[in-house]
Order: sequence, then structure tokens, then C-alpha cells
Amino acid sequence: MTQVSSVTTAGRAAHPERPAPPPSVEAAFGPEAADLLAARIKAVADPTRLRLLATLLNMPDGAACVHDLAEALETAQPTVSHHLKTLSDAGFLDCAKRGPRSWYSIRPDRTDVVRDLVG
Amino acid sequence: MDHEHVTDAPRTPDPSEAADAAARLPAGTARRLARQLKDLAEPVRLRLLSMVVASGQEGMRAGDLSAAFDLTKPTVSHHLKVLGEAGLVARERRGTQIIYRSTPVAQRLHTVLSRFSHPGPPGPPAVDDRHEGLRSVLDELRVEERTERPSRPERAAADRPLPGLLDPQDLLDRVQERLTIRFTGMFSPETVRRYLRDSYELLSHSAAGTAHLPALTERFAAERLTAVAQRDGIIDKLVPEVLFVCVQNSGRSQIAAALLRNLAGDRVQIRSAGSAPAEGVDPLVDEVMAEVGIDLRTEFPKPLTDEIVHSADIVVTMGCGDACPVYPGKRYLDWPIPDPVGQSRAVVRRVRDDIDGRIRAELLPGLLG
Repeated sequence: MTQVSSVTTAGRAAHPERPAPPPSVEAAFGPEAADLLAARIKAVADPTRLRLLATLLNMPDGAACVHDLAEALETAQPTVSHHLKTLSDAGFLDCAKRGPRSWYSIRPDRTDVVRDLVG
Repeated sequence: MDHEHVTDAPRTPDPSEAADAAARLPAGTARRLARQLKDLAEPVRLRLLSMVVASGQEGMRAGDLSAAFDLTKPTVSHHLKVLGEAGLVARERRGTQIIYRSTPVAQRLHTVLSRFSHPGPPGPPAVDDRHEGLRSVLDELRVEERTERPSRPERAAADRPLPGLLDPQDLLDRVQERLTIRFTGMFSPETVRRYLRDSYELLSHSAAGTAHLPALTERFAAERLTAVAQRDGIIDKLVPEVLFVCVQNSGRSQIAAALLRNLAGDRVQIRSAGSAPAEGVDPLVDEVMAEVGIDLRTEFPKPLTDEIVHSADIVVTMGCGDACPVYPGKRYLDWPIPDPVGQSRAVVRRVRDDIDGRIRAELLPGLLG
């Protein structure tokens, strides 16, 4: 435990008589904010979902259907549908039904965040 | 990017467009990014990061951080360790305390995360100065090489990984092997294992440098097993045993144990413990003892455990109230000595000399005859 002795001098300079002021926790995420943030990060913390977001972001008109996305990512359609649902539930995607197909796009208010992430 | 007219621009799908768009984020990059995000997507970790960032230059004490959660200290230290490995928090000793401070990249990450959780109002993106994004901050984090380790075969319940450290398992396995040899014929390997694990768990709540934890655990577990052996008459007690107890086992009881050890040598077995052990021996106590030629640097605060009290003949308590159990057949002494931790050098010296006087007057005559 030579470590103890090597830090004693530096350690004690700040130690006695001068207690640190209570740190401000104003900027801290509260438990609920942290839960929400963690859930939101978790929603995008998957390689396929990140690639889906990147694909949608880079589509010429910002939208794509499940079929095209599955082809582009070389992933089975049910898998892609599942990931799209996760992203929609977390509020990242809009879905518009047109004819037989559902068209997915990134929600306008999330475009910034998504571009920051996968752009 | 003009994509607000999804509904009024029906068109035939063009798969090649999607393929081109998908190619913008290669699979390998996506995997690495996903892993970093997964490491972050943990409410406790996010709150710890946030608290440490909010504490600014001062930093946060490890104790205050764990007090904010309804979790065991090893769990909280594990999360802090993950943050530390990513380069988000720095750990520092200040006296007997561990302080966590945020790194510059952590502060930037925090800002970016706030935006991630509170997206702007719907509509065109705010055209403020080009702000930083989550990805660019994540790119600066350290990614430790984590080649997907083949998962070990299913472990029995008693075999679950120990909390707190990265992988103390290998070290502890070695410690267990040594202790099993040392206590051959006295304790079964299972008993040795049980004490070792319990000791590890107890020390991980207090011990200073986690790097030293397996080594300290070995000493602590060996002391406890020896105490059990003496209590149960498995080994003969050749000399009387004195236990010094205070609150933190960082000042008074360390001073007393060291002073008596230097006076009585191996004619007395001496142990010390604290009812709420600190993370390390107080540095000023260490210095003041060095003034009289006694080295405390290899000592470490230990929690008060039952068998240590059981095996003692004389128990000296100093300010730990009734935290120390009382068993028949022992001599109990209570010394009203103030806690020297955090006091001036002069006060610490007085405490040292007071303890020295009491040892010479009240203990030595009975012990050495």
C-alpha cells in the first residue's frame, strides 16, 4: 500500500478545516429524466436500428417502406418491422400508410438528433 | 433535407436509393456506436454522470454518490468504473476519501444528452451555431477492447460474479487456493471460500484502492479465520488477544493497535476494527505515528466482525458506542477519546499520547505481568 503514502501530502492539503461546499446537483438528471433518457438511448443502441435511422435520414425524400429497408440492410422483413416499431414507440419515427405499404420517416422534431447520431 | 411532403408525393419505391442511403453508415461503425450507446443506456450511470458533471471542479465524494442511490456500494462503484473506463470520470484520492470529477468530454456529452432527451419543438431545425452531436462526442470516448468473451459455462448460484471490480475472480481464485493450503486441516475449502467471499464483500464497501482489494481481502480473511480457529479451540491461543474498536478504524484504533504492537511485540495478538470503516488510514494519523517511528502504511480499515470480537480477551472501544457486541468472559474497556480524523496535528498528537498513556497504565500490566 505504498499508494497511501504517495498521496498523503496532496491529499491532506485539501482535507481538514475546509469542508467542500455541497456540490450543486441542479443540472443532474433526476431519476425519471434518467429513466426516460436511458430508454431513449436504448431504443437507438442497436446496429440495425442505427442503420435504419441512417437510411431514412439519407433517403432523397426522407421516407422508405419496410420492403426497401429490408433489402437495403439485407435483413429479414419481420426483423426490420420489429426494429421500426421499437424506433416508432420511442418517438423517433413517423409512419404513414399509403396503399398497401407503410412509409416510415424520421419525425421532424428528431431529425437534428438523428443527424447528430448517424449523419 | 426536404422530407416533409411524404404524404403528397406518392412514388414507386426505388430499392437502390435505400441501398445507397444505408451504405452511409457501415455495419461495423453501427456496431461500435451501438455498443457505446448501450453502455450509456443505464439510468444509474446517466445519473452518476450527471451528478459528477454538476459538481464541477469540486467533484463528488464516492460516499455521497452512492448515498444518492438505493443500491449497494459495489454496484455503484461498478457503474463508476464503467464511466471511468470510457474516460468520463476521473478518480482521485483526497485524504481518506475518493473524489470523482468529470472530464471535459463528459461535460460535452452531458450537454448533448440533455438535447437528446429534450428534442426541440417540431418544425424546421433550429439554426443556431453548429452544435455538437452525440456521435461526435462518443467518437472521443475510449472504447476498451472487448472482444466478446465466450461466456463461461453456467455458474452455480454461489458462483455468481463478485460485485464491484472488473474481474476479481481470477485473483480471488488464487487467494482462495493459498488460504485453503494455509488452513488445511483446520477449515474445509468451503469454509475458507465462504469467509473469503464475505470478507471481500465487506471490504469492497470501504477499502480504498480497489486495486489492492484482493490483497487486503486475503489478509482480512486470514485474520478472521485465525480468530475463528482460536475461538473454537482449533488452534491454541498462546498469547492474549486485544481488540481495539473505533468508528472508522482509520485513526484511534489504528494508533492503539500500532502502539501496543510496538510495546508488546508478539507477546500479545492485536487486532483492530471499525464499526463504519473509512476508505483508508487518515494521512495525518499516518504522519503523526511516523514521528514516533511507527509505520502505518500497510494498515487498512477493517469492518468489525463477530468472530474477531469472540476471539478477543480484551476489547477496547473508543467512541463506537454500543456497535461492539458484548460477550461474557471478556474484559471490556471504553476509552473516551475524541476522533482525531480531520483535526489539527496538535490534536492528533495529543490523541496519540493519550492512547499511549492508557495502554501503559491500563493494559500492559495485565498483559505482560
